[in-house]
Amino acid sequence: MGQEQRKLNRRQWLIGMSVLGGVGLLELLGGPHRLGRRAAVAQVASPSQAIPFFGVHQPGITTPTPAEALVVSFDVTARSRQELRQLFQTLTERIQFLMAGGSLEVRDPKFPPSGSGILGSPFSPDGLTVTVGVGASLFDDRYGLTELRPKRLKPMPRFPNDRLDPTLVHGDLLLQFHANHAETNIHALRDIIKYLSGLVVLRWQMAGFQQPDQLPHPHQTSTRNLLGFKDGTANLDTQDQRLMNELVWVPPHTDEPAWTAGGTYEVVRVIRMFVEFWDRVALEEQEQIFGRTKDTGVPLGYRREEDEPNYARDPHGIQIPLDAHIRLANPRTRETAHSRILRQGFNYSRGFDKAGQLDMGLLFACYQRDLEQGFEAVQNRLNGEPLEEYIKPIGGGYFFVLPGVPAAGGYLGQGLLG
Amino acid sequence: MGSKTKLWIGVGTYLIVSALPGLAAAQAEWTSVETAKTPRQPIDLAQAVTEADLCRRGPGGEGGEGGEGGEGSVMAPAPTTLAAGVDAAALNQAVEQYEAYVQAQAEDLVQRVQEFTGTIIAGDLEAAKTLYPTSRIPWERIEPVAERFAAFDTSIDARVDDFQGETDPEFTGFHRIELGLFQNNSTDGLKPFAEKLMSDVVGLQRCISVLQIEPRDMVVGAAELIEEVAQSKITGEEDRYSRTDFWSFHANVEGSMQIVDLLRPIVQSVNPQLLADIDAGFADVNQQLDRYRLPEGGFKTYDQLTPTDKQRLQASLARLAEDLANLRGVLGV
Repeated sequence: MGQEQRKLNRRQWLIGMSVLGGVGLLELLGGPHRLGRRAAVAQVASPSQAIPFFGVHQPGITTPTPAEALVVSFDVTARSRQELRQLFQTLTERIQFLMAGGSLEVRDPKFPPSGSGILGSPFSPDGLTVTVGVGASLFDDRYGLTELRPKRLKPMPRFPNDRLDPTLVHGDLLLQFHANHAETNIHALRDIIKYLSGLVVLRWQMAGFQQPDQLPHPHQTSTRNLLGFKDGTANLDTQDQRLMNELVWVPPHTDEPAWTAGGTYEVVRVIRMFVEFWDRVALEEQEQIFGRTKDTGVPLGYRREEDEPNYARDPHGIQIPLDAHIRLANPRTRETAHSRILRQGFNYSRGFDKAGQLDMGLLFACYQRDLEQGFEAVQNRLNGEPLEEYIKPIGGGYFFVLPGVPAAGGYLGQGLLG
Repeated sequence: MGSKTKLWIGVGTYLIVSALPGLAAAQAEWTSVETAKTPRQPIDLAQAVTEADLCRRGPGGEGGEGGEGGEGSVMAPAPTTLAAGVDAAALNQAVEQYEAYVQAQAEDLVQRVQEFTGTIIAGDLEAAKTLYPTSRIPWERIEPVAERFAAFDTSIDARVDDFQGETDPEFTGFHRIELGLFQNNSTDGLKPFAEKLMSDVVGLQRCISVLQIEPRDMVVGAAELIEEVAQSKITGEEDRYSRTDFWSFHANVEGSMQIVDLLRPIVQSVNPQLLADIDAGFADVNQQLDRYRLPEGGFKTYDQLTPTDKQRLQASLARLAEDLANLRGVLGV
């Protein structure tokens, strides 16, 4: 398919968006009969575009990731189940409003303004998504939710290479903001904090950024991490609804509480990178550590970025070392196929540490319908990988992303609290 | 109030100079404190401006950030359009009552600090430690008013973070003395700081005694006191050497509640729901503070605050601050 064809398809998609504003993005993009498979990767929304809020699943997971992310973890201070319900109802209202864009309510000037105004009014949606997850701690004895805890939800354990900062882990409630501009995320965060006052307190937060993927192909990416390598080449194709249903979304009629259907387990990992050290490592070694060329992202010994390594033909790791990151993360065997996870990676940078070294790294999130089969299986394979010398997970947590709100009148968490 | 001559000395701050006493003289002779109520006659405007300048610039004659361009200018208060249902006479009465409260607190501050600094000068370490938290209470209750005199605020209540370390000669006031008493565990070398604190609170009281409080400042002050708690008292950075933060915390809350109490009938008549929310917020905060009260009076040390209770307080203060922020609009001041 040529460039022209791709442009056409993108144009069709935009038209579809404007006509079918209320239809879930996933549904809209799902059909291969509408869009050729190679061209099926959706692009990040333009500033004036609103991502639809309503749907079986929450937005912000299979939505193409834009330039800016803000991950904020809260502890819930609601004093009763009633207040907890009020929290989720108000949160739903604010997210709907913020994602749609519009005008701030005008008040008598002797009152504080109804919003921070940092985007002006009216403000554009700017591709904002706010995705809501809950941590295992929300299911303690405070709100009588213990029986309703998603079966696989637990506090994130410590893995061998972790050095978790207690001020950067866990939380009752996780809000994940994605937008084209950092101000849009901050605008949304400040709005939500204002309207949820008394019900939540901040626990930790981390901002991330990336160059949104420019390559309209599921098995290529232009996005790079701060080690300089392409990140996301072999990620799951979010347009493949069958794959998403198989690996990401919790289906109905499982051993899980009924309310969880349509949700997903999210793992957040804040992974510090020792970049000065890394920048002093020979290119050849860097590439052996990852298993791809740095410049092009091509698997070592292959020709194209999208080529799938055939590890069966390289049993001794001559081409791609046995402990290379991509080989451990996804061995591409029948047995490991179900451990594939949907990843989102943003970079972070926050000054420097006490040693005078740059404090930056990866704000990583992944989604799966089963934590043990997904992230934990991958992480356990990665434990001890050579890359560990240059990275150190310092924060994050396990969360359950609530199912979406199918239609107006509903609220996030309704199945849990209704 | 129309016949009084007023001087603008900073943001929202006016002094009624026709009633301004001899400030400089009073500061020099603080040992014979008598709170100034009697206006000097006849009014010498030039002299009054000089003395108002002392209130604006504070002790030492510099460093205050009370504002620019107000010297000698006589201004009328900005006209306000009260919200429908707000009785102007009732509001004025509330403001006058608040002025009386503020002045009484300022006088109480002078008394308490005199006793406190007396123990320091006498070298009585234990007595000084006991009096430290209580001597500050009136200051904390009227903090937004007292802070209008920026230089006094700096010399009386600034924390070490505002200076170049503990040995910075500019570091004076309550917290410099707190450092000596609680960290160095001694009254040695504190006499000059005690004398300066006394002189400063006398000066402050003189300035406050002729301060005219605008309705807006009073109303906003209720919110400012809670913002102060939510922003910095909650962190435990206020009384870091003595760990008596709960006293300051509580006094801020008392000062805010006093304002709401004086406005109570007015708010009740125009927005009973907001009043109920604010009352519930105060009750919530006080209930949590009560858990840290000692049976013999006073509070436990702040390092005993549990992380869970701290979160609870953070949440309650945030909600209370949101509610108090609406008071001004509800009253139309």
